[in-house]
Amino acid sequence: METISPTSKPRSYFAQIPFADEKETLDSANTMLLKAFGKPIDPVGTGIYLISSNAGFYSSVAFWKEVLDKGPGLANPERFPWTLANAPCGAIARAFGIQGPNYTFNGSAIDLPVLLEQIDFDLSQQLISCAWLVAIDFGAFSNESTSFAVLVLTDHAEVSWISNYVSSDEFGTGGLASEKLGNLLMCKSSRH
Amino acid sequence: MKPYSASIVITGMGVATPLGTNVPDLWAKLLAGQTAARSWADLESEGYRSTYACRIDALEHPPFRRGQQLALAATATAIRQSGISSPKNAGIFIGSTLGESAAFEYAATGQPIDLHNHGVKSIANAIAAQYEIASVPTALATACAAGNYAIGMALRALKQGRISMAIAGGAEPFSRLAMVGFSRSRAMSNQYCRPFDANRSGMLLGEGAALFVLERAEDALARGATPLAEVVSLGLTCDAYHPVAPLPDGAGMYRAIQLALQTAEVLPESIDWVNTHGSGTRLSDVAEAQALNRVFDGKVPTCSGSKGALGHALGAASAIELALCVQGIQAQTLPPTFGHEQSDPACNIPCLQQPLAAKIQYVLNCAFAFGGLNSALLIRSWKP
Repeated sequence: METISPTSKPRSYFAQIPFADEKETLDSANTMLLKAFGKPIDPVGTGIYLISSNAGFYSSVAFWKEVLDKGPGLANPERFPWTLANAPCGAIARAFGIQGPNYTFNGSAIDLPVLLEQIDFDLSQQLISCAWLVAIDFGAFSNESTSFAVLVLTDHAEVSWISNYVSSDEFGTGGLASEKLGNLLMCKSSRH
Repeated sequence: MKPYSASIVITGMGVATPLGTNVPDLWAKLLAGQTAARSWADLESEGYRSTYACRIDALEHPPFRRGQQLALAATATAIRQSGISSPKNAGIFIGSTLGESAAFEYAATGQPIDLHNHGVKSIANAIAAQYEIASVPTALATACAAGNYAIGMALRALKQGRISMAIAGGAEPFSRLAMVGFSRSRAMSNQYCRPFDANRSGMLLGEGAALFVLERAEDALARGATPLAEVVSLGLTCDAYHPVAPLPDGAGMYRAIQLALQTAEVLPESIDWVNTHGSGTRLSDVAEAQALNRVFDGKVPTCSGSKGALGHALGAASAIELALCVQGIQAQTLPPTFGHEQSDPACNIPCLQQPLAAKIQYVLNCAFAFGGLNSALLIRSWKP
Protein backbone atom coordinates (compact mmCIF):
# COMPACT_ATOMS: atom_id res chain seq x y z
CA MET A 1 0.00 0.00 0.00
CA GLU A 2 1.14 3.53 -0.59
CA THR A 3 0.10 6.95 0.57
CA ILE A 4 0.97 9.85 -1.67
CA SER A 5 1.11 13.34 -0.28
CA PRO A 6 2.04 15.90 -2.90
CA THR A 7 1.48 18.61 -0.30
CA SER A 8 1.83 18.61 3.47
CA LYS A 9 -1.85 17.73 3.70
CA PRO A 10 -2.64 14.32 2.19
CA ARG A 11 -5.01 14.73 -0.75
CA SER A 12 -4.74 11.36 -2.38
CA TYR A 13 -4.38 7.74 -1.51
CA PHE A 14 -3.82 4.48 -3.33
CA ALA A 15 -3.68 0.99 -1.90
CA GLN A 16 -3.84 -2.64 -2.91
CA ILE A 17 -5.86 -4.39 -0.24
CA PRO A 18 -5.64 -8.17 0.25
CA PHE A 19 -8.70 -10.14 -0.90
CA ALA A 20 -11.70 -10.10 1.40
CA ASP A 21 -15.43 -9.54 1.03
CA GLU A 22 -16.77 -6.00 0.58
CA LYS A 23 -17.39 -5.39 4.29
CA GLU A 24 -13.94 -6.48 5.46
CA THR A 25 -12.30 -4.62 2.60
CA LEU A 26 -14.08 -1.39 3.50
CA ASP A 27 -13.19 -1.83 7.17
CA SER A 28 -9.52 -2.01 6.15
CA ALA A 29 -9.79 0.81 3.65
CA ASN A 30 -11.51 3.13 6.12
CA THR A 31 -8.93 2.42 8.82
CA MET A 32 -6.12 3.28 6.40
CA LEU A 33 -7.90 6.37 5.11
CA LEU A 34 -8.65 7.67 8.60
CA LYS A 35 -4.93 7.50 9.39
CA ALA A 36 -4.04 9.24 6.15
CA PHE A 37 -6.75 11.89 5.91
CA GLY A 38 -8.47 12.25 9.26
CA LYS A 39 -12.07 13.46 9.31
CA PRO A 40 -13.14 16.07 6.76
CA ILE A 41 -13.41 19.69 7.87
CA ASP A 42 -16.81 20.17 6.25
CA PRO A 43 -18.61 16.80 6.38
CA VAL A 44 -21.97 18.27 5.32
CA GLY A 45 -20.36 19.96 2.33
CA THR A 46 -18.35 16.93 1.26
CA GLY A 47 -19.61 14.57 -1.43
CA ILE A 48 -18.40 11.08 -2.32
CA TYR A 49 -18.28 10.06 -5.98
CA LEU A 50 -17.41 6.37 -6.04
CA ILE A 51 -16.89 4.22 -9.09
CA SER A 52 -16.53 0.47 -9.10
CA SER A 53 -16.67 -2.24 -11.71
CA ASN A 54 -17.97 -4.82 -9.27
CA ALA A 55 -19.16 -3.46 -5.93
CA GLY A 56 -21.74 -5.83 -4.48
CA PHE A 57 -20.86 -8.70 -6.82
CA TYR A 58 -18.98 -10.85 -4.34
CA SER A 59 -21.50 -10.43 -1.52
CA SER A 60 -24.44 -11.06 -3.87
CA VAL A 61 -23.05 -14.39 -4.98
CA ALA A 62 -22.01 -15.32 -1.43
CA PHE A 63 -25.44 -14.37 -0.03
CA TRP A 64 -27.24 -16.44 -2.63
CA LYS A 65 -24.91 -19.40 -2.01
CA GLU A 66 -26.08 -19.27 1.61
CA VAL A 67 -29.70 -19.24 0.46
CA LEU A 68 -29.05 -22.28 -1.73
CA ASP A 69 -27.20 -24.08 1.05
CA LYS A 70 -29.41 -23.23 4.04
CA GLY A 71 -32.73 -22.10 2.58
CA PRO A 72 -34.19 -18.59 2.30
CA GLY A 73 -35.06 -18.45 5.98
CA LEU A 74 -31.51 -18.88 7.23
CA ALA A 75 -29.28 -16.69 5.05
CA ASN A 76 -27.17 -14.21 7.03
CA PRO A 77 -29.11 -10.91 7.05
CA GLU A 78 -25.95 -8.94 7.84
CA ARG A 79 -24.52 -9.81 4.46
CA PHE A 80 -27.54 -8.55 2.53
CA PRO A 81 -26.80 -4.79 2.69
CA TRP A 82 -23.40 -5.52 1.14
CA THR A 83 -25.07 -7.05 -1.91
CA LEU A 84 -26.14 -3.52 -2.80
CA ALA A 85 -23.55 -1.81 -4.96
CA ASN A 86 -23.77 1.43 -2.99
CA ALA A 87 -22.82 -0.19 0.32
CA PRO A 88 -19.10 0.73 0.09
CA CYS A 89 -19.90 4.39 -0.52
CA GLY A 90 -22.26 4.39 2.45
CA ALA A 91 -19.60 2.75 4.61
CA ILE A 92 -17.07 5.47 3.77
CA ALA A 93 -19.67 8.14 4.55
CA ARG A 94 -20.33 6.57 7.96
CA ALA A 95 -16.65 6.19 8.82
CA PHE A 96 -15.96 9.86 8.07
CA GLY A 97 -19.34 11.41 8.86
CA ILE A 98 -19.67 12.62 5.26
CA GLN A 99 -23.21 13.86 4.70
CA GLY A 100 -23.13 15.36 1.20
CA PRO A 101 -24.09 13.62 -2.06
CA ASN A 102 -23.23 9.93 -2.07
CA TYR A 103 -22.81 8.69 -5.64
CA THR A 104 -21.99 5.14 -6.72
CA PHE A 105 -21.29 4.51 -10.39
CA ASN A 106 -20.93 1.08 -11.95
CA GLY A 107 -18.21 1.33 -14.55
CA SER A 108 -14.53 1.62 -15.41
CA ALA A 109 -11.90 4.20 -16.32
CA ILE A 110 -13.87 5.28 -19.36
CA ASP A 111 -16.56 6.61 -17.01
CA LEU A 112 -14.25 8.84 -14.97
CA PRO A 113 -14.89 11.97 -17.09
CA VAL A 114 -18.60 11.95 -16.24
CA LEU A 115 -17.85 11.71 -12.51
CA LEU A 116 -15.53 14.68 -12.88
CA GLU A 117 -18.19 16.63 -14.78
CA GLN A 118 -20.59 16.03 -11.91
CA ILE A 119 -17.99 17.03 -9.33
CA ASP A 120 -17.16 20.19 -11.28
CA PHE A 121 -20.84 21.09 -11.46
CA ASP A 122 -21.47 20.43 -7.77
CA LEU A 123 -18.42 22.51 -6.77
CA SER A 124 -19.32 25.35 -9.13
CA GLN A 125 -22.90 25.44 -7.85
CA GLN A 126 -21.58 25.40 -4.27
CA LEU A 127 -23.58 22.25 -3.57
CA ILE A 128 -20.35 20.92 -2.06
CA SER A 129 -17.05 22.41 -0.93
CA CYS A 130 -15.07 19.21 -1.31
CA ALA A 131 -15.36 16.03 -3.37
CA TRP A 132 -13.87 12.63 -2.67
CA LEU A 133 -13.32 10.81 -5.93
CA VAL A 134 -13.11 7.14 -4.97
CA ALA A 135 -12.40 4.20 -7.24
CA ILE A 136 -12.56 0.67 -5.88
CA ASP A 137 -12.38 -2.58 -7.79
CA PHE A 138 -12.71 -5.65 -5.63
CA GLY A 139 -10.69 -8.79 -6.07
CA ALA A 140 -12.96 -11.60 -7.15
CA PHE A 141 -10.82 -14.51 -5.98
CA SER A 142 -8.47 -15.20 -3.07
CA ASN A 143 -5.41 -14.59 -5.26
CA GLU A 144 -6.65 -11.14 -6.33
CA SER A 145 -6.27 -7.92 -4.37
CA THR A 146 -8.63 -4.95 -4.30
CA SER A 147 -7.47 -1.69 -5.90
CA PHE A 148 -8.52 1.40 -3.97
CA ALA A 149 -7.79 5.01 -4.93
CA VAL A 150 -9.05 8.26 -3.43
CA LEU A 151 -8.52 11.85 -4.57
CA VAL A 152 -9.76 14.90 -2.69
CA LEU A 153 -10.82 17.71 -5.01
CA THR A 154 -11.82 21.18 -3.90
CA ASP A 155 -11.75 23.44 -6.91
CA HIS A 156 -12.16 23.65 -10.66
CA ALA A 157 -8.42 23.70 -11.35
CA GLU A 158 -7.91 20.36 -9.59
CA VAL A 159 -10.89 18.81 -11.37
CA SER A 160 -9.68 20.17 -14.69
CA TRP A 161 -6.19 18.73 -14.14
CA ILE A 162 -7.56 15.29 -13.35
CA SER A 163 -10.02 15.51 -16.25
CA ASN A 164 -7.20 16.21 -18.66
CA TYR A 165 -5.31 13.25 -17.29
CA VAL A 166 -8.15 10.74 -17.47
CA SER A 167 -9.10 11.91 -20.96
CA SER A 168 -5.53 11.75 -22.26
CA ASP A 169 -4.12 8.78 -24.06
CA GLU A 170 -1.00 8.69 -21.89
CA PHE A 171 -2.27 5.67 -19.99
CA GLY A 172 -5.15 4.72 -22.28
CA THR A 173 -8.84 5.32 -21.59
CA GLY A 174 -9.84 1.75 -20.76
CA GLY A 175 -9.20 -0.51 -17.80
CA LEU A 176 -10.25 -0.25 -14.19
CA ALA A 177 -10.91 3.20 -12.77
CA SER A 178 -8.96 2.39 -9.60
CA GLU A 179 -5.90 1.36 -11.58
CA LYS A 180 -6.13 4.43 -13.78
CA LEU A 181 -6.19 6.71 -10.75
CA GLY A 182 -3.53 4.57 -9.07
CA ASN A 183 -1.27 5.07 -12.08
CA LEU A 184 -1.84 8.80 -11.87
CA LEU A 185 -0.99 8.92 -8.17
CA MET A 186 2.15 6.82 -8.53
CA CYS A 187 3.25 8.91 -11.48
CA LYS A 188 2.60 12.11 -9.50
CA SER A 189 4.48 10.71 -6.52
CA SER A 190 7.54 9.82 -8.58
CA ARG A 191 7.58 13.34 -10.03
CA HIS A 192 7.72 14.74 -6.50
CA MET B 1 -21.37 30.39 -8.97
CA LYS B 2 -21.82 29.74 -12.70
CA PRO B 3 -25.37 30.48 -13.83
CA TYR B 4 -26.94 27.55 -15.63
CA SER B 5 -30.24 29.08 -16.64
CA ALA B 6 -31.52 26.60 -19.23
CA SER B 7 -34.89 25.03 -18.43
CA ILE B 8 -34.84 21.26 -18.75
CA VAL B 9 -38.05 19.52 -19.74
CA ILE B 10 -39.39 16.01 -20.13
CA THR B 11 -40.77 15.39 -23.60
CA GLY B 12 -41.33 11.64 -23.46
CA MET B 13 -41.82 8.95 -20.85
CA GLY B 14 -42.34 5.22 -20.85
CA VAL B 15 -43.02 2.72 -18.10
CA ALA B 16 -43.09 -0.99 -17.51
CA THR B 17 -44.81 -1.79 -14.22
CA PRO B 18 -46.87 -4.58 -12.64
CA LEU B 19 -49.99 -2.41 -13.07
CA GLY B 20 -49.45 -1.48 -16.69
CA THR B 21 -46.86 -1.17 -19.38
CA ASN B 22 -47.96 2.27 -20.48
CA VAL B 23 -48.68 5.39 -18.46
CA PRO B 24 -52.43 5.72 -19.27
CA ASP B 25 -53.15 2.11 -18.15
CA LEU B 26 -51.03 2.48 -15.04
CA TRP B 27 -52.63 5.80 -14.17
CA ALA B 28 -56.19 4.50 -14.65
CA LYS B 29 -55.55 1.49 -12.40
CA LEU B 30 -53.88 3.64 -9.79
CA LEU B 31 -56.81 6.06 -9.70
CA ALA B 32 -59.18 3.08 -9.47
CA GLY B 33 -57.41 1.99 -6.30
CA GLN B 34 -55.94 -1.22 -7.68
CA THR B 35 -52.84 -2.99 -6.47
CA ALA B 36 -50.59 -5.49 -8.22
CA ALA B 37 -49.75 -7.16 -4.90
CA ARG B 38 -50.53 -10.85 -4.60
CA SER B 39 -49.06 -14.07 -3.34
CA TRP B 40 -46.97 -16.00 -5.88
CA ALA B 41 -47.10 -19.78 -6.11
CA ASP B 42 -43.44 -20.12 -7.11
CA LEU B 43 -42.31 -18.18 -4.04
CA GLU B 44 -44.60 -20.29 -1.84
CA SER B 45 -43.17 -23.51 -3.24
CA GLU B 46 -39.60 -22.27 -2.80
CA GLY B 47 -40.17 -21.70 0.92
CA TYR B 48 -40.13 -17.91 1.10
CA ARG B 49 -41.42 -16.42 4.35
CA SER B 50 -43.02 -13.52 2.47
CA THR B 51 -44.70 -14.57 -0.75
CA TYR B 52 -46.50 -11.32 -1.64
CA ALA B 53 -44.90 -9.22 -4.34
CA CYS B 54 -45.73 -7.03 -7.33
CA ARG B 55 -44.39 -8.61 -10.51
CA ILE B 56 -44.94 -8.22 -14.22
CA ASP B 57 -46.64 -11.33 -15.58
CA ALA B 58 -45.63 -12.99 -18.82
CA LEU B 59 -42.63 -10.81 -19.62
CA GLU B 60 -40.51 -12.48 -22.26
CA HIS B 61 -36.80 -11.79 -22.11
CA PRO B 62 -33.49 -13.43 -22.94
CA PRO B 63 -31.89 -15.32 -20.04
CA PHE B 64 -30.62 -12.97 -17.32
CA ARG B 65 -31.83 -9.90 -19.24
CA ARG B 66 -35.11 -9.08 -17.53
CA GLY B 67 -33.90 -5.64 -16.39
CA GLN B 68 -32.61 -4.87 -19.85
CA GLN B 69 -35.91 -5.89 -21.42
CA LEU B 70 -37.88 -3.66 -19.06
CA ALA B 71 -35.57 -0.72 -19.76
CA LEU B 72 -35.72 -1.18 -23.54
CA ALA B 73 -39.52 -1.36 -23.52
CA ALA B 74 -39.82 1.84 -21.46
CA THR B 75 -37.21 3.62 -23.56
CA ALA B 76 -39.01 2.80 -26.81
CA THR B 77 -42.23 4.33 -25.47
CA ALA B 78 -40.44 7.42 -24.18
CA ILE B 79 -38.69 8.02 -27.48
CA ARG B 80 -41.92 7.51 -29.41
CA GLN B 81 -43.78 10.02 -27.25
CA SER B 82 -40.98 12.58 -27.47
CA GLY B 83 -41.19 12.53 -31.25
CA ILE B 84 -37.43 12.73 -31.67
CA SER B 85 -36.31 11.24 -34.94
CA SER B 86 -33.02 9.85 -33.69
CA PRO B 87 -31.58 9.67 -30.19
CA LYS B 88 -28.04 9.00 -31.47
CA ASN B 89 -26.66 12.11 -29.76
CA ALA B 90 -28.35 11.45 -26.44
CA GLY B 91 -26.60 10.93 -23.14
CA ILE B 92 -27.78 7.88 -21.21
CA PHE B 93 -28.21 7.83 -17.42
CA ILE B 94 -29.62 4.65 -15.88
CA GLY B 95 -30.17 3.79 -12.23
CA SER B 96 -30.58 0.34 -10.68
CA THR B 97 -29.42 -1.47 -7.56
CA LEU B 98 -27.24 -4.28 -8.85
CA GLY B 99 -28.44 -4.91 -12.40
CA GLU B 100 -29.54 -8.37 -13.47
CA SER B 101 -30.03 -10.04 -10.11
CA ALA B 102 -30.78 -13.44 -11.67
CA ALA B 103 -27.25 -13.56 -13.10
CA PHE B 104 -25.77 -13.29 -9.60
CA GLU B 105 -28.11 -16.00 -8.35
CA TYR B 106 -27.00 -18.19 -11.25
CA ALA B 107 -23.32 -17.54 -10.50
CA ALA B 108 -23.93 -18.83 -6.97
CA THR B 109 -24.75 -22.25 -8.41
CA GLY B 110 -21.17 -22.44 -9.69
CA GLN B 111 -22.10 -22.04 -13.33
CA PRO B 112 -19.84 -19.79 -15.42
CA ILE B 113 -21.25 -16.35 -16.25
CA ASP B 114 -19.59 -12.97 -16.85
CA LEU B 115 -21.02 -10.85 -14.06
CA HIS B 116 -19.39 -7.68 -15.39
CA ASN B 117 -21.78 -7.99 -18.30
CA HIS B 118 -24.80 -8.12 -15.98
CA GLY B 119 -24.28 -5.16 -13.65
CA VAL B 120 -26.16 -1.85 -13.86
CA LYS B 121 -23.88 -0.78 -16.69
CA SER B 122 -25.15 -3.65 -18.86
CA ILE B 123 -28.66 -2.15 -18.84
CA ALA B 124 -27.33 1.27 -19.87
CA ASN B 125 -25.17 -0.35 -22.55
CA ALA B 126 -28.19 -2.17 -23.97
CA ILE B 127 -30.01 1.12 -24.57
CA ALA B 128 -26.90 2.59 -26.20
CA ALA B 129 -26.60 -0.44 -28.47
CA GLN B 130 -30.28 -0.46 -29.39
CA TYR B 131 -30.20 3.16 -30.58
CA GLU B 132 -26.59 3.27 -31.82
CA ILE B 133 -25.73 5.94 -29.28
CA ALA B 134 -22.01 6.63 -29.30
CA SER B 135 -21.56 8.38 -25.95
CA VAL B 136 -20.49 6.40 -22.90
CA PRO B 137 -23.66 5.51 -20.95
CA THR B 138 -23.70 6.29 -17.25
CA ALA B 139 -24.80 3.64 -14.74
CA LEU B 140 -25.83 4.72 -11.26
CA ALA B 141 -25.95 2.07 -8.57
CA THR B 142 -27.56 4.14 -5.85
CA ALA B 143 -30.11 1.59 -4.67
CA CYS B 144 -33.66 2.76 -4.06
CA ALA B 145 -32.88 6.38 -4.98
CA ALA B 146 -31.20 5.51 -8.29
CA GLY B 147 -33.97 6.84 -10.52
CA ASN B 148 -33.79 10.30 -8.98
CA TYR B 149 -30.00 10.25 -9.22
CA ALA B 150 -30.16 9.37 -12.93
CA ILE B 151 -32.63 12.16 -13.68
CA GLY B 152 -30.47 14.58 -11.68
CA MET B 153 -27.38 13.69 -13.69
CA ALA B 154 -29.27 14.21 -16.93
CA LEU B 155 -30.44 17.58 -15.61
CA ARG B 156 -26.85 18.55 -14.84
CA ALA B 157 -25.43 17.39 -18.18
CA LEU B 158 -28.12 19.23 -20.13
CA LYS B 159 -27.68 22.42 -18.11
CA GLN B 160 -23.91 22.28 -18.63
CA GLY B 161 -24.47 21.84 -22.36
CA ARG B 162 -22.55 18.55 -22.38
CA ILE B 163 -25.33 16.80 -24.30
CA SER B 164 -28.26 17.87 -26.47
CA MET B 165 -30.75 15.37 -25.08
CA ALA B 166 -30.87 12.64 -22.47
CA ILE B 167 -32.46 9.26 -21.99
CA ALA B 168 -32.64 8.78 -18.24
CA GLY B 169 -34.48 6.72 -15.65
CA GLY B 170 -34.35 3.50 -13.70
CA ALA B 171 -34.84 -0.21 -14.26
CA GLU B 172 -35.08 -3.11 -11.84
CA PRO B 173 -35.90 -6.74 -12.57
CA PHE B 174 -37.67 -8.80 -9.92
CA SER B 175 -34.95 -10.10 -7.62
CA ARG B 176 -35.18 -13.25 -5.52
CA LEU B 177 -31.99 -12.13 -3.86
CA ALA B 178 -33.65 -8.87 -2.74
CA MET B 179 -36.81 -10.77 -1.79
CA VAL B 180 -34.86 -12.93 0.65
CA GLY B 181 -32.59 -10.10 1.74
CA PHE B 182 -35.33 -7.68 2.70
CA SER B 183 -37.26 -10.49 4.33
CA ARG B 184 -34.22 -11.52 6.40
CA SER B 185 -33.73 -7.84 7.29
CA ARG B 186 -37.30 -7.90 8.64
CA ALA B 187 -38.28 -5.09 6.30
CA MET B 188 -40.85 -7.08 4.33
CA SER B 189 -44.61 -7.13 4.84
CA ASN B 190 -46.20 -10.55 4.69
CA GLN B 191 -49.20 -9.17 2.82
CA TYR B 192 -49.96 -5.63 1.64
CA CYS B 193 -47.71 -2.61 1.89
CA ARG B 194 -49.44 0.22 3.79
CA PRO B 195 -47.51 3.49 3.61
CA PHE B 196 -47.90 5.70 6.72
CA ASP B 197 -50.70 3.45 7.99
CA ALA B 198 -51.01 2.57 11.66
CA ASN B 199 -51.06 -1.12 10.71
CA ARG B 200 -48.17 -1.13 8.28
CA SER B 201 -45.77 -4.05 8.59
CA GLY B 202 -43.19 -3.42 5.90
CA MET B 203 -42.44 -3.16 2.23
CA LEU B 204 -43.36 -5.32 -0.75
CA LEU B 205 -40.96 -6.01 -3.55
CA GLY B 206 -41.83 -4.78 -7.03
CA GLU B 207 -40.09 -4.47 -10.35
CA GLY B 208 -40.23 -2.33 -13.46
CA ALA B 209 -38.71 0.54 -15.35
CA ALA B 210 -39.40 4.13 -16.24
CA LEU B 211 -37.40 6.04 -18.81
CA PHE B 212 -37.62 9.67 -19.89
CA VAL B 213 -36.45 11.83 -22.75
CA LEU B 214 -35.14 15.13 -21.40
CA GLU B 215 -34.13 18.17 -23.40
CA ARG B 216 -33.45 21.86 -23.01
CA ALA B 217 -36.83 23.56 -23.34
CA GLU B 218 -35.66 25.79 -26.17
CA ASP B 219 -34.55 22.75 -28.18
CA ALA B 220 -37.79 20.90 -27.53
CA LEU B 221 -39.92 23.89 -28.52
CA ALA B 222 -37.81 24.56 -31.60
CA ARG B 223 -38.61 21.10 -32.97
CA GLY B 224 -42.28 21.47 -32.09
CA ALA B 225 -42.36 19.12 -29.10
CA THR B 226 -44.71 19.59 -26.17
CA PRO B 227 -42.96 19.56 -22.78
CA LEU B 228 -44.75 17.36 -20.25
CA ALA B 229 -43.10 18.90 -17.21
CA GLU B 230 -39.96 20.74 -16.18
CA VAL B 231 -37.28 19.12 -14.03
CA VAL B 232 -36.11 21.84 -11.68
CA SER B 233 -33.64 20.60 -9.07
CA LEU B 234 -32.37 17.64 -7.09
CA GLY B 235 -31.31 17.61 -3.45
CA LEU B 236 -28.95 14.82 -2.33
CA THR B 237 -27.64 14.04 1.13
CA CYS B 238 -26.36 11.08 3.11
CA ASP B 239 -27.27 10.23 6.70
CA ALA B 240 -23.84 8.69 7.42
CA TYR B 241 -25.61 6.91 10.23
CA HIS B 242 -26.50 3.24 9.65
CA PRO B 243 -26.26 0.69 6.81
CA VAL B 244 -30.02 0.12 6.62
CA ALA B 245 -31.85 2.44 9.04
CA PRO B 246 -32.54 6.13 8.44
CA LEU B 247 -31.73 8.81 10.98
CA PRO B 248 -34.75 8.47 13.32
CA ASP B 249 -35.58 12.19 13.16
CA GLY B 250 -35.35 12.28 9.36
CA ALA B 251 -32.66 14.97 9.46
CA GLY B 252 -30.92 13.75 6.31
CA MET B 253 -34.20 13.53 4.42
CA TYR B 254 -35.04 17.06 5.62
CA ARG B 255 -31.74 18.40 4.28
CA ALA B 256 -32.25 16.75 0.88
CA ILE B 257 -35.70 18.32 0.50
CA GLN B 258 -34.39 21.69 1.70
CA LEU B 259 -31.54 21.51 -0.81
CA ALA B 260 -33.94 20.84 -3.68
CA LEU B 261 -36.06 23.84 -2.65
CA GLN B 262 -33.16 26.19 -1.96
CA THR B 263 -31.34 25.33 -5.18
CA ALA B 264 -34.48 26.21 -7.12
CA GLU B 265 -35.26 29.21 -4.88
CA VAL B 266 -38.74 27.79 -4.33
CA LEU B 267 -40.53 28.33 -1.01
CA PRO B 268 -42.03 25.32 0.79
CA GLU B 269 -45.52 26.82 0.55
CA SER B 270 -45.26 26.61 -3.26
CA ILE B 271 -45.29 22.81 -3.18
CA ASP B 272 -48.65 21.36 -4.20
CA TRP B 273 -47.95 17.65 -3.83
CA VAL B 274 -45.34 15.40 -2.28
CA ASN B 275 -44.90 11.98 -3.82
CA THR B 276 -43.48 10.28 -0.75
CA HIS B 277 -40.94 7.49 -0.61
CA GLY B 278 -43.49 5.74 1.65
CA SER B 279 -41.87 2.33 1.82
CA GLY B 280 -44.34 1.12 4.46
CA THR B 281 -41.64 0.20 6.98
CA ARG B 282 -42.04 1.31 10.58
CA LEU B 283 -38.84 3.36 10.79
CA SER B 284 -38.62 4.92 7.34
CA ASP B 285 -42.19 6.22 7.23
CA VAL B 286 -41.87 7.91 10.62
CA ALA B 287 -38.54 9.50 9.66
CA GLU B 288 -39.99 10.74 6.36
CA ALA B 289 -43.07 12.20 8.06
CA GLN B 290 -40.84 14.01 10.56
CA ALA B 291 -38.71 15.42 7.75
CA LEU B 292 -41.78 16.66 5.87
CA ASN B 293 -43.28 18.25 8.97
CA ARG B 294 -40.01 20.06 9.60
CA VAL B 295 -39.67 21.32 6.01
CA PHE B 296 -43.27 22.50 5.86
CA ASP B 297 -43.47 23.68 9.47
CA GLY B 298 -46.33 21.30 10.21
CA LYS B 299 -48.33 22.34 7.14
CA VAL B 300 -47.42 19.42 4.90
CA PRO B 301 -48.99 19.57 1.43
CA THR B 302 -51.08 16.67 0.17
CA CYS B 303 -49.01 13.49 0.00
CA SER B 304 -49.36 10.22 -1.83
CA GLY B 305 -47.35 7.05 -2.23
CA SER B 306 -47.44 4.27 -4.80
CA LYS B 307 -45.59 1.39 -3.14
CA GLY B 308 -48.82 -0.14 -1.85
CA ALA B 309 -50.04 -0.44 -5.44
CA LEU B 310 -46.79 -1.20 -7.26
CA GLY B 311 -44.47 -2.59 -4.62
CA HIS B 312 -40.98 -1.21 -4.17
CA ALA B 313 -39.17 -1.40 -7.50
CA LEU B 314 -35.88 -0.44 -5.78
CA GLY B 315 -33.65 1.32 -8.34
CA ALA B 316 -36.60 1.91 -10.66
CA ALA B 317 -39.01 3.10 -7.96
CA SER B 318 -38.28 6.81 -8.02
CA ALA B 319 -38.28 6.84 -11.83
CA ILE B 320 -41.68 5.11 -11.95
CA GLU B 321 -42.93 7.58 -9.34
CA LEU B 322 -41.59 10.47 -11.41
CA ALA B 323 -43.77 9.23 -14.27
CA LEU B 324 -46.74 9.35 -11.89
CA CYS B 325 -45.80 12.89 -10.84
CA VAL B 326 -45.63 14.00 -14.48
CA GLN B 327 -48.92 12.30 -15.25
CA GLY B 328 -50.47 13.93 -12.19
CA ILE B 329 -49.37 17.33 -13.46
CA GLN B 330 -50.76 16.56 -16.89
CA ALA B 331 -54.08 15.40 -15.43
CA GLN B 332 -54.07 17.97 -12.58
CA THR B 333 -54.99 15.07 -10.33
CA LEU B 334 -53.30 13.48 -7.34
CA PRO B 335 -53.42 9.69 -7.07
CA PRO B 336 -54.54 7.75 -3.97
CA THR B 337 -52.23 5.77 -1.69
CA PHE B 338 -53.21 2.12 -1.84
CA GLY B 339 -52.96 0.51 1.58
CA HIS B 340 -53.23 3.73 3.54
CA GLU B 341 -56.43 3.36 5.54
CA GLN B 342 -55.79 4.39 9.13
CA SER B 343 -53.25 7.15 9.62
CA ASP B 344 -50.47 6.47 12.08
CA PRO B 345 -50.36 9.35 14.59
CA ALA B 346 -46.57 9.04 14.46
CA CYS B 347 -46.76 9.80 10.72
CA ASN B 348 -48.70 13.03 10.84
CA ILE B 349 -48.97 13.85 7.13
CA PRO B 350 -52.04 14.27 4.89
CA CYS B 351 -51.79 11.03 2.93
CA LEU B 352 -54.38 10.82 0.18
CA GLN B 353 -56.81 7.88 0.13
CA GLN B 354 -58.88 8.90 -2.90
CA PRO B 355 -57.94 10.65 -6.15
CA LEU B 356 -58.05 14.42 -5.85
CA ALA B 357 -58.42 16.97 -8.63
CA ALA B 358 -56.24 19.94 -7.77
CA LYS B 359 -54.18 22.73 -9.24
CA ILE B 360 -50.69 21.25 -9.39
CA GLN B 361 -47.63 23.29 -10.25
CA TYR B 362 -44.77 22.12 -8.03
CA VAL B 363 -44.24 18.47 -7.05
CA LEU B 364 -41.56 16.87 -4.88
CA ASN B 365 -40.55 13.29 -5.60
CA CYS B 366 -38.80 11.81 -2.55
CA ALA B 367 -36.66 8.67 -2.61
CA PHE B 368 -34.44 7.25 0.09
CA ALA B 369 -32.18 4.22 0.16
CA PHE B 370 -30.18 1.78 2.24
CA GLY B 371 -26.80 3.30 2.95
CA GLY B 372 -28.47 6.49 4.19
CA LEU B 373 -29.06 8.01 0.76
CA ASN B 374 -31.65 10.77 0.57
CA SER B 375 -32.94 12.39 -2.60
CA ALA B 376 -35.67 14.90 -3.41
CA LEU B 377 -36.43 15.81 -7.01
CA LEU B 378 -38.41 18.97 -7.70
CA ILE B 379 -40.48 19.22 -10.87
CA ARG B 380 -43.10 21.68 -12.02
CA SER B 381 -45.74 22.06 -14.68
CA TRP B 382 -44.30 23.50 -17.87
CA LYS B 383 -45.02 27.14 -18.48
CA PRO B 384 -43.34 28.77 -21.48
